[in-house]
Amino acid sequence: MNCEQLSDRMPEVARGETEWGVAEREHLAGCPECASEWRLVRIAARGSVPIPELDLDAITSGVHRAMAAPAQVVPFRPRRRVSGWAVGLAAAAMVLLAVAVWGPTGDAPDVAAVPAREPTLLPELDGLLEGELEVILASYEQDEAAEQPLGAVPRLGDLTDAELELLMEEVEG
Amino acid sequence: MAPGLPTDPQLVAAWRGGDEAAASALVRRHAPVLGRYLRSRGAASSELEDLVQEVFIRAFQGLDGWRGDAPLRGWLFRIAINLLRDRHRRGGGRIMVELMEDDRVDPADPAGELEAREARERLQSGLATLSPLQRDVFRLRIEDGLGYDEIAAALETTPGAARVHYHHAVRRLKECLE
Ligand SMILES: [Zn+2]
Repeated sequence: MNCEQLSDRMPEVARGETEWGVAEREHLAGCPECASEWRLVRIAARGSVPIPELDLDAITSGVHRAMAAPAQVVPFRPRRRVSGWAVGLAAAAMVLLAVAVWGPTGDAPDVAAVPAREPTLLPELDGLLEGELEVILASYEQDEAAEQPLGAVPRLGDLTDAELELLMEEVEG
Repeated sequence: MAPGLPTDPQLVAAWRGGDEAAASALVRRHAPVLGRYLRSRGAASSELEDLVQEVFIRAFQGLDGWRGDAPLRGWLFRIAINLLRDRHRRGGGRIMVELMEDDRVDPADPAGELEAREARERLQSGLATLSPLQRDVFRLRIEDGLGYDEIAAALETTPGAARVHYHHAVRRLKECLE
């Protein structure tokens, strides 16, 4: 039993879906790091809303109705061969439709159309020294900063002292 | 997964082969947690069924976009996340948050309620200081019960990166509670 294994079990125990085993209890009692994480996880789990009561029959039949509607493409039906000019016309129509619906800078509404981000390989956390973990975390923070959309406005807190001084000079004249 | 029950990939394959009951089984398996997710992110109770239904319609229409080796639940969450984003955009950026406090799990220990409330408030302030990705990872892990592989599929990252974000969030939030 190590800290990582205990950490992995905390959310489900905190939500009451399972209980601690003997070895886990012993570790928790003797490890201040895990004890403080356990306190946090318990508090956070109390923010979890209960599973709502849903009419699953209504949802299921609604899904089947939508999938059976003539406008929908049924994925498991074999596709008919279509001639080249028909494909061209269809593609042109799709482009027009996309521009009309989403606009030139709009986002496609369907998650399935979004290409998955290239996965990044990460070493196992257990084997890392504190300093190494910090370096990895710092690189992720940078990645997140780089992912900000173009034109995102920097906040004052993001500016260096020199940049802030320049800005203040401009504002004050 | 209880032994003897078909796995998600088996059900997906059956549905692709024309078995409607397989689609129903997938809905029954994943709809409750999706409903909880949507509710906890501000959807009104009255619209939950429509939203969950929409998630499954988008999922079944776009199954070609699902990598069979990624957990289906994570992929369904990704669709739910995008669905909320679309609604948010269509609503002109207005947030459709409904106060959730009344729906929260009742504390089993009423005597500790005041202290717990104070701790929750400190936690809320701490969550606001995290990056959006760290916050999403933390909440999906604790409140929605997703594993790192499912979180990775939901947030388009890797399980290793999700784990790093989670630990970073835990480290910062522990400081907020001290
Ligand atoms: Zn420990």
